[in-house]
Amino acid sequence: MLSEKDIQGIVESVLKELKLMRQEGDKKDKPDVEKKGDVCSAKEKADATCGGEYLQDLCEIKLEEWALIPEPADREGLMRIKKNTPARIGLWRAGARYKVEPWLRFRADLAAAKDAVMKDVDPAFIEELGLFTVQTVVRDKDEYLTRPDLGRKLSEEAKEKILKECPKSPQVQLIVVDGLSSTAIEANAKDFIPSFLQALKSYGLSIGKPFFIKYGRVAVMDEVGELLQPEVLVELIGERPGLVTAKSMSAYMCYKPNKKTIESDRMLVSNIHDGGLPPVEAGAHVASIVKKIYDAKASGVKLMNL
Amino acid sequence: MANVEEILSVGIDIGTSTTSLIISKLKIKNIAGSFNAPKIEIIEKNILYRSDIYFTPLIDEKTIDFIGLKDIIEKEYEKARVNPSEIKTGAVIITGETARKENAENILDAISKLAGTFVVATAGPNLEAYLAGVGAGAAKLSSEMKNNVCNVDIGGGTTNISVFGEGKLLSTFCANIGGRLIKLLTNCTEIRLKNVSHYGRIILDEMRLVAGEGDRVSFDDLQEFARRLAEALLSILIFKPNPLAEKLAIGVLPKEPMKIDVVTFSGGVGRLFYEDEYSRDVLLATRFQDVGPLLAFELKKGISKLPYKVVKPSETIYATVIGAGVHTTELSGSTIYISDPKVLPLRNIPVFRIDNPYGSKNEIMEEVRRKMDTFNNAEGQIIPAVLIPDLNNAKFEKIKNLAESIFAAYRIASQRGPLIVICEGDLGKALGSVLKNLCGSLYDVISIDEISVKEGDYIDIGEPLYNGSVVPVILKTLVFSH
Repeated sequence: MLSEKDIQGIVESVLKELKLMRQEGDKKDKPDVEKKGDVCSAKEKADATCGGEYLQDLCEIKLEEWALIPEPADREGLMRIKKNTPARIGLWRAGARYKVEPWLRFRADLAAAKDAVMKDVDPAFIEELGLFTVQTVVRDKDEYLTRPDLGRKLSEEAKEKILKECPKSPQVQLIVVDGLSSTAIEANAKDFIPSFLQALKSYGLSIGKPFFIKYGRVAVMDEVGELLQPEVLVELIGERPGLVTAKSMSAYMCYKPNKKTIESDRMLVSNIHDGGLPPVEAGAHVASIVKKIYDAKASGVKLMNL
Repeated sequence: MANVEEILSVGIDIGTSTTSLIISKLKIKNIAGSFNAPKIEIIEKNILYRSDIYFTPLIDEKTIDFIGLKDIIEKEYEKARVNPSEIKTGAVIITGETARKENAENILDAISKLAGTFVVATAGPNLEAYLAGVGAGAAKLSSEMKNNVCNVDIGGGTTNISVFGEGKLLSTFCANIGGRLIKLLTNCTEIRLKNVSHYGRIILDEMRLVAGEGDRVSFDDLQEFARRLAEALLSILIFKPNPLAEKLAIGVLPKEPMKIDVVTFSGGVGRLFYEDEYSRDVLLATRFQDVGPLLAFELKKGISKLPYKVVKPSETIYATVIGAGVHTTELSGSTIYISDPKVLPLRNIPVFRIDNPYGSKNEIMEEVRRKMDTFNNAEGQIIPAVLIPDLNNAKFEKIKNLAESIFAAYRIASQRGPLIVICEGDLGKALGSVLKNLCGSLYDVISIDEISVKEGDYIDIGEPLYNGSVVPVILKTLVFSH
């Protein structure tokens, strides 16, 4: 097995080679590239290096606009149907199978989904958000995926650190958890958090010190609740990725979560990503729900039944 | 929270010849799944009550009779068993020749206030054309049949034409063609002209008929009058307006042919077009003391000249009033920011758009200031709404900068509040809260999203519905440049 460091080494050397190739290419096609300034697209760069032969990035095709049926009886009608769903319809077939391009796209989306699950959230990203990191009792990714129960328990070390770093009994506590998609956290947290914070401020609510939990599951919030006793806890967590997007994030909310908390006490805004509820708007929306929870001193079904 | 909220909406149409009213019930509901952000929509529209059709009460040829109108509305509310305080939304539209009366604006304002809490005053032939088209069912027909439907609403004073393609409005155009351009006094023995409008005179002139008010005219003359009107209208519908049509045009008539598959007729004359059995009986043809029935008949005679399929719409004479009562209310997006609901409703808010949202903070501020300034005159400041183009999933920093620019522009111009922003993209709540943090107690902030407006539109914003999640918005302007 290659270690992560080995892989990084290989990637770097490949990148270096590419750079050399590009420099040569640039020399050949310099007038052309210069004309367009520095905003030349990936496609043009590829053109410049490979003399016009390049492979299209299949992941850039919008599934809602991708129809491959040759000579459909009603193309407009087909496109209208397509517009309603990113599901893989109207992609035609070769015999009983997918055509090559839809098949490759399927593989690419599956790979992105796997990556989202298997990769860790970049520590530099967490630092950029100004968060400190703690870990559950889970030791590695394999254990994380096979033992959901352990993803709900904080390690002793984590508990100590949290108690040391965070003020107790805040009005609102925010935690960021990797869950099943590191990609989701990296894609959305940076826009969600500042929007959430300033919206909380406009409601006159104060917030404790947010932090990041590695290898966490949704119910890890119960332990955090026991430790810090916040009025309302908000947990951002990466959603199980699918073949449409691997970037979808959820925000769970709960009034005074503790070890007796049951699932119906939690509230959820899901589908936070560029193609769903945009993270900036989601931040403000979640803050408004937090305000409701705070005022009602209840969440989930209890809040709905008030 | 997936409960259904019901609101009552009124539509009142004060037209050249007739006035009518309808009351409808709109049902609104959150249609999103419980784990998603809410998506509150109007899920059902039912007409509960249709009034009788009244002749629009006039004091004289220049003045609308307010007391007469008020009596009609009060009487009809009583018959419908509703109280004005129960009416949460709707629109009064004053149309055709009546909109040109001297006291039209005051009447419109007064009626809208007595009709309910958020009943909007509207006017304008293009808006009427649109409302008649949706009210008649032409818009729905075009979206069901996936083709282009042209609705021709022929009233007493004006004909308002709208063209819809797959449910979307493509164009509107209007002309002073109607069944009541001249009013008659008839009895068993003779027909006399009671009144001739400006446009009625144009046609009489073309016929070289010098008859004035009080003079006798022959039935043949009336038929010729109606034939000329019908011919002018048909020439408009095939995009080759004849000289008379040009004289009767309101604004510019299109001369570039548009694709039209189906044509529907609505309005009073529209109803006669489908339902009137013609007879040469003079008394029957002039029973409304005007040329409406004759115009309908002449249209029917010439209709084969139109290369379109003629279909009867689901509504005819009630089309405009249904459009005003049922189809004017739009709901905003469901994640919006209203710092204080007490500032609502707000009426007649002009909209201007930030054209360069990607500019520097200073550039955006200057643009907002400049455009805001155009609304201010000697009479003082008008409260505008700033339209923010879709920023395609903008980063938080961008939204913060935008908010700061807008706030700075408001401060520097000492603009009167509340600060209203309308976002094309889904960021109403986020932008609203950033703005509120900047404004503190200086301005109330209203930030709504996902409604389709454009620069130059006027909108009314109603009180929040559905637990404060959405606001009703009524768009009042509809101007097309051909």
